[in-house]
Amino acid sequence: MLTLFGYALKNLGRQKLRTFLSALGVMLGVWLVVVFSAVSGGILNTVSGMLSQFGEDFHCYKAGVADQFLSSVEESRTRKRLRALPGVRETASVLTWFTRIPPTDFVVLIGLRPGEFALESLLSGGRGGFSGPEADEAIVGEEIARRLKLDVGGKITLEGVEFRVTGTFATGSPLFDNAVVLPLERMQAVFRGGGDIANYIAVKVARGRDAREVARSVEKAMPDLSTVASLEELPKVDQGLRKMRMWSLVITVTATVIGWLFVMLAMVMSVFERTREVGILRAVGWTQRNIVLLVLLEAVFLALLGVAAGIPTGLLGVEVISRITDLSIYIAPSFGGAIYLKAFLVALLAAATGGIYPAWRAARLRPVEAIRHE
Amino acid sequence: MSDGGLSIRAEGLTKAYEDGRIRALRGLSIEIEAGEFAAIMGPSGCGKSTLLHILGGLDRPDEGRLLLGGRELADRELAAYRSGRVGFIFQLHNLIPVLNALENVQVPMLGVGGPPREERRSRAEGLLEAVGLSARLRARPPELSGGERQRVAVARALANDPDLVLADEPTGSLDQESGARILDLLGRLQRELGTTLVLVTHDERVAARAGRVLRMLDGRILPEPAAGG
Ligand SMILES: Nc1ncnc2c1ncn2[C@@H]1O[C@H](COP(=O)(O)OP(=O)(O)O)[C@@H](O)[C@H]1O
Ligand SMILES: [Mg+2]
Repeated sequence: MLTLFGYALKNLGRQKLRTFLSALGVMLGVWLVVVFSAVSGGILNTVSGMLSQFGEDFHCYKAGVADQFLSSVEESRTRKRLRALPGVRETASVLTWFTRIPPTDFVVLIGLRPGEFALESLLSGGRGGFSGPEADEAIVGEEIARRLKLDVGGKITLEGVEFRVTGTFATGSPLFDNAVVLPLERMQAVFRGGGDIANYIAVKVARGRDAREVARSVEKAMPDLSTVASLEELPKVDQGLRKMRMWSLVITVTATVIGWLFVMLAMVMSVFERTREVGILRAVGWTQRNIVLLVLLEAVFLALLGVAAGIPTGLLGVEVISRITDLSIYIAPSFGGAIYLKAFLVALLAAATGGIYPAWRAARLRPVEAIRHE
Repeated sequence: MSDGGLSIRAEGLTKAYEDGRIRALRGLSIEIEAGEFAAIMGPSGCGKSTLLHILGGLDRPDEGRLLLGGRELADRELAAYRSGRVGFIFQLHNLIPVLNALENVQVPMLGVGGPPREERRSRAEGLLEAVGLSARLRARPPELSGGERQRVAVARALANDPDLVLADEPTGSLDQESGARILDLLGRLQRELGTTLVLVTHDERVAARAGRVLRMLDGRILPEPAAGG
């Protein structure tokens, strides 16, 4: 049974190596999209999870910083002023720091004060706690505990100071589950020279109050602070996130261009080789539109081959990347349906744009000249 | 089935290539009745293929008047004319190499608005049976002999039930026996279907089967010798 689809498929089978190579080009584009989207989606998930990890409504950062981890606010004075604002129910200070515990590359340290809602929220999914605000004690996330074979009663040395493990917790977030939590004041003393410093202040608003409204009033009353209630607001204190959007666009465009180039080259060659055949088709009554349709269909099939090969290898790629790097310490790659849709659309766009020129060339061939072509 | 052939009437056709340096047709006039079998003979390069392409709506003359079935066709009617009324047979490389015989015969019916799948298929089977290829439906062109390939081409030319079949040296690359078989076939189909058949050939024996022989030279049809003269 002959259909246009069947004919287009058979045409792809004519030059198997060429079809394979050009599908490989599309696959490369799909691969880029899958890998980048999975990783960036994972980063966004981690970051947005961070914004409400302790059940808070928003964070207050130092205004004007280029990266959220570089923010430092004067802890006690800022909290005093925050608490005086109407609508603020509770505040908690959070201090972050990066250090190294051999053999791992990076460990995130988080300073939380006993008695504040942040630490309580974390411990509600764990056990143990701190005996005092300045104890040399550590509570460890379940992932890092597993990796370093730590448990309650064990010891951990951080930048020359020995901490005793007095608790563990599990959140489901790779960033937190790979973190070590220390008493805030001890952490200020050991890692920040005793400064009265927090990275950000987590704020819970009073029942019935609109978090965004309260956040706005905070910024108004304290212009040295930037509030972040959601992922969309994070670029206020994080250039990296802004760049990620741009990179996402760059990757998408690059992937499309790669696919376009391969599809176009393959189809131009294929159409040229079939010049006489195009003439025959016209002679037996095919319209220019039929010819365009045939060539575009072949381009689309090429792209679908690329998608079919690109998605599984892309997933494999993400897996390999998170095994050989410490990516999985910070993020869980996200494999939402949107990724496949995006990869599919990129490939389809590559096929459409890559197929148009050869299709146009084939349709434009003058039948008599095509027939004379040997 | 078609209810008769297509009449052809052309006056003063010219066609030049390469900015006028090659004058393929030089004021050619021709008249062929509906249902007639006409052979066109002439030396290589005298414009036979050019004429056939113009009659088949593949190309346009530069000048002259061309009535096909009594009508002058507009440019936008040509594709429909080719697909609905004309069947083409070329000397060589007629077929699509990746498609088998059955599929090749269906190619003209694939266009938008063609018959539905089942009909395409049964029609193609019927045509291949008519040309004696029922046993080779699944064979692809490289597996067919030259004669078999031309028989597939004949079946394909008839796929859309044309009123005019144009054959450009259809036996030129065949041995005698296969060539004769193709001619028998064309002649029979032409008689049975009442199709107009215009056949270009170098071979006097081939021409002898035609109802009429038109001789071409330098882009013109030579006057026919008076009947009985
Ligand atoms: N598309 C074309 N471009 C240039 N020259 C052509 C083209 N088609 C035919 N010709 C020339 O026109 C003349 C007639 O060609 P053609 O009709 O193929 O002759 P025949 O079929 O009788 O051998 C030849 O000189 C041929 O080279
Ligand atoms: Mg010729």
